Amino acid sequence: MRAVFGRVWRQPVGRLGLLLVVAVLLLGVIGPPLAPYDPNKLNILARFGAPSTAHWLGTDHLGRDLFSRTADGGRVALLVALSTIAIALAVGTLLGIAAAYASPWGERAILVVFDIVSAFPTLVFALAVVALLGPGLDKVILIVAITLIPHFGRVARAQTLSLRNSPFLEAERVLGAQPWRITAHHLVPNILGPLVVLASMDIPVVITIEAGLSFLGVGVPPPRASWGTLLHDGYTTLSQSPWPVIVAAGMLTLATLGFTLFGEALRDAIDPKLRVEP
Amino acid sequence: MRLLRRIGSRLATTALVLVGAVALVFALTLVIPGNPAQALLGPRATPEAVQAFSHAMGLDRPVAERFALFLWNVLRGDLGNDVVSGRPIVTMVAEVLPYTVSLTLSAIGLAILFGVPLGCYAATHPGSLIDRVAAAVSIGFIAIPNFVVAILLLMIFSVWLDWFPVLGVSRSGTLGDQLARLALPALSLALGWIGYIARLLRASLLDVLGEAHIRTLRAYGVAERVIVYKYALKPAAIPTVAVLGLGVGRLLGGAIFAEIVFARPGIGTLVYDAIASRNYPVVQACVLVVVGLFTLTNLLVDLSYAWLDPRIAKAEER
Amino acid sequence: MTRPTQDADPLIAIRDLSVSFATSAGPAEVLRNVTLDLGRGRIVGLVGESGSGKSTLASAITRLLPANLSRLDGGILYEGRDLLAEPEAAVAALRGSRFAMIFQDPMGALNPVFRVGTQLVDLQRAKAPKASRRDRMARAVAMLTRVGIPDAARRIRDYPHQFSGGMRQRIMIAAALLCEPDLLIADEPTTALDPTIEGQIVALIDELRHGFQGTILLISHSLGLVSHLCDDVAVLYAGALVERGPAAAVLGAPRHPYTRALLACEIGADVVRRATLATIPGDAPDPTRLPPGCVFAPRCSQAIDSCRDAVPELRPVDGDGGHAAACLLV
Repeated sequence: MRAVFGRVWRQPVGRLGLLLVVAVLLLGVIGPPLAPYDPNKLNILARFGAPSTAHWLGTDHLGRDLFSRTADGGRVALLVALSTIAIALAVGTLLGIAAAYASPWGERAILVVFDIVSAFPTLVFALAVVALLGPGLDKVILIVAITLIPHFGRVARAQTLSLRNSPFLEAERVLGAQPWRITAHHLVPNILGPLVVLASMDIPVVITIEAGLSFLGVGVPPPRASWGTLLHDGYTTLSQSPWPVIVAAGMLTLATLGFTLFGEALRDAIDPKLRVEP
Repeated sequence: MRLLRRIGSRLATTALVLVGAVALVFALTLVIPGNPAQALLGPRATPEAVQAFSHAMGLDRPVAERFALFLWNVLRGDLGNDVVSGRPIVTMVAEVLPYTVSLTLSAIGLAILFGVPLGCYAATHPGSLIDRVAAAVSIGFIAIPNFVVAILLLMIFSVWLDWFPVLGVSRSGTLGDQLARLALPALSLALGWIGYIARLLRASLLDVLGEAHIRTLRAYGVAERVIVYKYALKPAAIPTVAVLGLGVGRLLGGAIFAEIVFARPGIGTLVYDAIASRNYPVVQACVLVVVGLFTLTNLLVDLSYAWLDPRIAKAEER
Repeated sequence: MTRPTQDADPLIAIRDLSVSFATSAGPAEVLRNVTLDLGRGRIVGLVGESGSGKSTLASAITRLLPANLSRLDGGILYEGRDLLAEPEAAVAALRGSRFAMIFQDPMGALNPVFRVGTQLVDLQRAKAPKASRRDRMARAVAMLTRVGIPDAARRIRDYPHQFSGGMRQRIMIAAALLCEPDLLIADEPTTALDPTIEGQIVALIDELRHGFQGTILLISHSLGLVSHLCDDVAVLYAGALVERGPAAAVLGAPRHPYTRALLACEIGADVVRRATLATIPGDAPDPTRLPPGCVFAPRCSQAIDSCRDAVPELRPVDGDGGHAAACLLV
């Protein structure tokens, strides 16, 4: 673990990514308690404020403090990204392993379901579901997780297939180990590397989708702050003040860029072979 | 003959995926909380009205029958009627689809127009200033969500610089006017792809340029221009085209945002307005159209491999 | 076979050629002070173990050396010009018009995603820049027929993967002959092929040489092939030319201990197939740490103390017959 982070840190790109990731994590975790204002507190008189000592990042069209809202939105983004990816990673890995061990028909069925789910561009799928079921954080998490499952499932299946007949798993089987034991203790730890890399590279994707859905008004329900709603509010009032857009766009840029750079450096550190995969 | 078999097998898979997608979209209507007719008509509708509407929409029939009907209607090209205006949804989609398609195609065109030469230059001059700057800038544009790029472009070029002051499309305007309105939305979609194509192409070109057949061409004095742009570019394009095909989904998703940000008509605005007015059949239809476009594009990309890489047809023949 | 090897006006005269590459272990001296003439119209065999610098010598003539080149000294004279002193573009203009190459790996030497005809048309660009595509295609079909591709007019529209390895090597030979080169470099042209196919390709080269005016530089580690095809032979060991001369003299009466050892190995492997296979004891030296004096001395059974003092010069061993060896003992 330390060695991997060391390798990430040694690449200039990885270092920048790691620093940005840590900054975003800090903002999301300790930002909200430190924030000087309630993120939802209105103050119409102070609306469209430029950054100042009172409001570090300015205020929005309702006079809400942008720093407090940005920190709150960061917490939402991290919550959505991490829980989504945890679900997709867990379910996808299990389905992938199951597909590798299933009968040819079972395997075929799982792969066809993967194909169908992948036929929906994540954003369009999420849009459809949220539009029909109504907005909500839990729904956003669930839907995005579902669309990411095939992603993890295919890699887990391929990894399992290449490991299934390896001598050390064979030895465990001969020694009479239970299948679940083999899976939990031997298979999963050995296929986890590429899956973790995939997970880290999906973080910026999920952040983008959450912000996108919120931008369209079907993600995080108002008045709760999300970078997407911040951006949308700023967009509709762009002619009055550029600050809300600059703050929201800047935060999204730093966060997605940071996680992307970190993900690429992590991939190079863990498994350079994955590089060829687009 | 083998090409026909290949197309046939691909068509079968595509058909299966499309039917699955229709089933998924249909299944979503089953989990709408409460009575969909009630939801559509609003809380003040009388029970009789709800009953009548349910019957008219076929909502009181068994699920299997409703799905069969739904699938049959989709196959006939009947996507239902708009619950607000009563117009056929197919007509509404057909009206706005050209705007979305032209936006997406211009974005792909821009991405190829700038991404391919950039990738070729970077691969033939690795480590040069342009190569390093392009690498840094492209990773930035790949990472940043395209609606952020769209809004920043809008802010800089329309609001501050006032270069492209007009939004929307010009339905009857001159070609120049229409292009001016297309420029920023297409650019907002293309920026990330320029970098993506350049990066992918650079990597696979560097691989190909090290192969033995390139050495043959050099030993026979074939001009470097011909080597790079003809003999190396084609095999190097194969992985790039694969990614481009998968990326069409993201591009269509991005087009939704670009249309909303720049107030252009299109599938994106249609679906956005439909969500706001809880116009479920329209949302459903738009999702199906986007999934269909995405799947068919992937089919085309898949088939184009046979042209790009004659070895594939041979491998499948065995 | 009666002409002397060291004729007064060779096609290519290599003089004191030294080539080094930068590696992580320091500069690797791949060729050291090689002096060799390639006579007009002759087939010159260049033999040696892998890593002895054979291919580097060929690449130096065409100036297609890898990017980690760190030293390039000496001269390669062609038509009164020193190819190593000429600008890059001037040498590039000779490739494909005066020089042509056939490579070891016929699988990889052709581009997999273009038709054979398209490639043969483009490979003639340097030779016949003004000829139309139709003309070049017609020449290609004729040449493919000549090298033994049946139904060439139809097969020229096929892709490389639709041909067998031997057929692909025939295509490469056709490409080389289409250029009507002054110098044809064949780098291990049969090594990657099955023995039966190898025999067919050798027979083809043997047959085509009669109609071919240029010089052939045949790089091979197979002495059998070289003795069958070549007029002259040059033996490389660890970047140094240890023996050269008419094939009959060098292979019939080898003077350098390395050439003798090489011949012994060949006979052991090809003919006798006994358990006591003759091998040369020890390994070829590391090109980043060459021994002082004669490079072969550490492995040579006849080495004396003075062998390790100075690099032996190449000296004539039969008067003016052109046979020379770089050994203190001859």
